[in-house]
Parts: sequence; structure tokens; C-alpha cells
Amino acid sequence: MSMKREVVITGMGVVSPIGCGVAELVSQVSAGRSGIRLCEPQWLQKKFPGGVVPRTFTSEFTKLELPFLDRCPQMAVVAARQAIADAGLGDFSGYAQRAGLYYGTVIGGAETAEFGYEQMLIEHKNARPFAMMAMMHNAGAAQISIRHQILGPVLTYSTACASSGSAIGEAMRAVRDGYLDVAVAGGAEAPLTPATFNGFDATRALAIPDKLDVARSCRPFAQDRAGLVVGEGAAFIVIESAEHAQRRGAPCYAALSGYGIASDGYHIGSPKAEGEAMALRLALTDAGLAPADIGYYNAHATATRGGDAIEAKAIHLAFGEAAQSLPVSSTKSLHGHLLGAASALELMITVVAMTESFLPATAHLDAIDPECGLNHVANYPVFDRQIEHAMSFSSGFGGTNVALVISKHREMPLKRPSNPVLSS
Amino acid sequence: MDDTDILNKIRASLIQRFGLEPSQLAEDVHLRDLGADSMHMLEIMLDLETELGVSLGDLALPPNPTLGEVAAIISRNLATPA
Repeated sequence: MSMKREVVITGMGVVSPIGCGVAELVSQVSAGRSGIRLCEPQWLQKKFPGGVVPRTFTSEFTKLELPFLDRCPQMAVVAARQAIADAGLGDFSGYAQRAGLYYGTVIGGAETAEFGYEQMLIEHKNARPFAMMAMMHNAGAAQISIRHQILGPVLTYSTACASSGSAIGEAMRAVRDGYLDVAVAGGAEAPLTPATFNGFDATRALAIPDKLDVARSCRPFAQDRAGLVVGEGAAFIVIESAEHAQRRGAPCYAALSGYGIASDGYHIGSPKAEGEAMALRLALTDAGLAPADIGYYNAHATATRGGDAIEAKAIHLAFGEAAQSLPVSSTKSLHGHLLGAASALELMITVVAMTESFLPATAHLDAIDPECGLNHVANYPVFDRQIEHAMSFSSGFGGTNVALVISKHREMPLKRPSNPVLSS
Repeated sequence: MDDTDILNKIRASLIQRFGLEPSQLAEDVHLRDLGADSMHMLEIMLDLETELGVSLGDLALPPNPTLGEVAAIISRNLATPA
């Protein structure tokens, strides 16, 4: 069964604070428009900045379906549906066990879980019959599999903020090693709930709303960075072997050319540069590339005091001299930290940077922290920049680090987001 | 309260909670034909328990019952002292 095959990305779908649909994502990222808004969670006497998807998805489902669907799986289903349609696919039953679904989430159905506690502790009512199926971590994966008849492995990864990165990496391996022809991979998170805000707030890692403009609250790598901003959304890609895509005449956005995964073995809540650097090196080796080959690096940097500096150190460790010229940005400044959907969204931003030939910027980066010294794409995107290879990195609580590499495909017809509106 | 009263309460709950149309809710229609399953029926039973102030206990529904069958089972359960 083992044979190395090239893996390509043929479909993408997204619901995020900076766009529902890939074309809107391109427009928002290239304009540097922030989707961070003010959240006032119930029960808490506090306001937080949050990466908000400013719409509901209940109209996408029937009233018979909705009780089973927390907001998290709702967004997962919507984003995956987009990605699958974008790839020109729909029903995978013909693939039998050669199609897979790889999903990442950190909290799963937070809204349903918290509503359950409210009913139990305040209203003294029994739970609803649907609660477990709406809140379980693999609900999003299962709902997509049922709707699109994905009958092979349907797996849920929970590696904190690297969840969808590990999902995508493991899906890539399954396709590359010949176990699958096609896989849908990504993640979803709907964490803008009182208990989640309260829990993150207790770690003292959350940003407070910027006094002048809440949209500027997330400032990775900046001297005045004030902590992370939690965000919601879902992002999925469709990957398949290049041979399979060519056979069915499907163009690709890019090749998914490298995956590196390494764990710190260090601390439950603090990252370690050496572990992060190991994931970066492994991804380069996996893609058969040298550090200088990478033309853009989308950072994990969440805007915490410690984490950003550690990632900068990891980049220097892994890239050596090439770090001087490696363009780096953290687009979390625009969309916040989508937890289980973070890696997938940021990989997608890396893909559109490649297809639309621009370097996305770290917004609100007026004064760079010297401890985060890198070749930053600060404040404004750089346009007309050809990218041959790019990397996206994610690091999770608990120490799982994931790096993904994409490469421009030289032989297959290249696909671009439908009707992208590039703002310059 | 007879089977018809219970059937009508089930119908009202299905309309209110799950957006079904009155014309779909014939006595001999099967749950699956409505796109519903045993989980939806459990929710309806919880509504009935709240409304009638009773506990329906352990209700074993046959696979894919009709609305009429569900009403009859609930009715029998109400008639049996707990």
C-alpha cells in the first residue's frame, strides 16, 4: 500500500471573522481589515475583544437538524460544504473507504455545554436529549461525514491550538502514503462563550479591548502587545493525490508539500523554542527544501508576551541565516486566535498569499519588540511578490507543534479563489 | 385524556419545536418519513412530561413508529400507576 504520492489542495472553504468564503478572505487580508469586535459575554462583568463571525448559521439547517448542531459543528458543516463544492465534489460514497475526514477542535460544542450547565444549576431542568451529540468534540467531523458520505477514516484531533494543523498533516500523510485518494481536512471552533472567556481570562493571557479601536486589540510581535484575542470560525481544505486530481481534471491551488510535527515535552502551558524549531526543520526536510526556499512564513504568534518571543527564537534556530530575509507575519492581528480552526485558516491565508502573489501583514505593528526581531511584514501587505514555497506554523498548549509547507505546482493547472478582490 | 388528545399534543410540539407542517402529521405517518428520529420524540416526551406534570418513565418505542403508535404508548404509560 505504501507509495509516496504528491498531495495537492483542490478546494477551500471558510467562515471566519474576516470573511465567509475564500474570495472575501482574500479581500479582507489584502486590505488588512480586522474582524475583531467587542464581546460582552453573559454573566461576566467584563468586555473582551473577540474575532467574531458576524452572522448566524441557523438558516442553513432545518429545525429537525438544529438541535443536534452547536454553533461549532454548524460552522464546520458550512465551511466544509464550501470546500467540497469548490473542489467540484459533493458525495464521496463512490470512494468507499478511500475518502477521509480529518478534523480539529479544542472545545467542541461550548455553547451547548454551557447551556446544559445553566439548565442544570440555575433552572434545575433535565438536559435535552440532543445535548451530548451537539457538544461532543467529533460532532463537526461526524456531521460532515454523514452529509457528504465520507466513509473512510473520520478522525478528530485535539492538540490545542495545533488541532487543525495536525488534522491537515495527518490527512496529507494518509493521501501521500496511498491510503486515501481524497481527504477533507480542517477545523472549527465557537469559543465566544462566557465560560471560555472566563477560563482564558484566568490565564492572564487575554488582551483587553484597545481603548481607541477594539479592532486593534491583537498586536503580535509588537512592543505593546497585550495578549491573545479568541476568535471563532471554521476552515476546511480538500486535498487529493495529484494523480487523482489530474485524472478528474481538477486544478489545484498549491501542493501541500511538507508536514512537521514535534512536541516540547516541557510544560502544559508554556512553549519551548527547541520543540517549535524541530517541527519547522522537519517540515522543511519533509518538503525537501532549504530554509532559504521559504518565501513567506505565517506565524503562530498570538500576541502573548512569552509566546511570540519564543517563536521568534525558534525561527532563528530552524532557519539560521535565512531568518534574516524570511518574510514573517501573524495574521491573528486581523482574525484573532481561532483555536481548533487556527491552523487551517492560517494555512488558507498562506495559500491565497501564494495564489494572489502578496505577503499578508501583521497589522498594528508600529513598534516591533526587539525580542521578536525578524523580517516582519509590518502593517501593510507587500504586493506583487511571487511565492514559490511558504510555511504556516501552529503551536498548542501542551506542547504539540505543527508546521505545514505549501509549494506552487509547476505542472498542474493552477486555481485561484473565485473572483478575488485584491485590495492594494 | 385519550390517545387523540395525546396525539394532538405531539403534533403541536412537532410543529412548534421542529417546524413541521400540520398537513404532514397524519396518525399513520412514520417518524422517518418526517425526517425525525427517536431523539426528536424524546424531546417531545419531555415537553409532555412538563406540560402534564408526569414522569413517563421507561418508554420503549418500536423502530420507526407512527405518530399514532407513539401516542398509544404514551397513553398506556399514563394509565399505569408508577
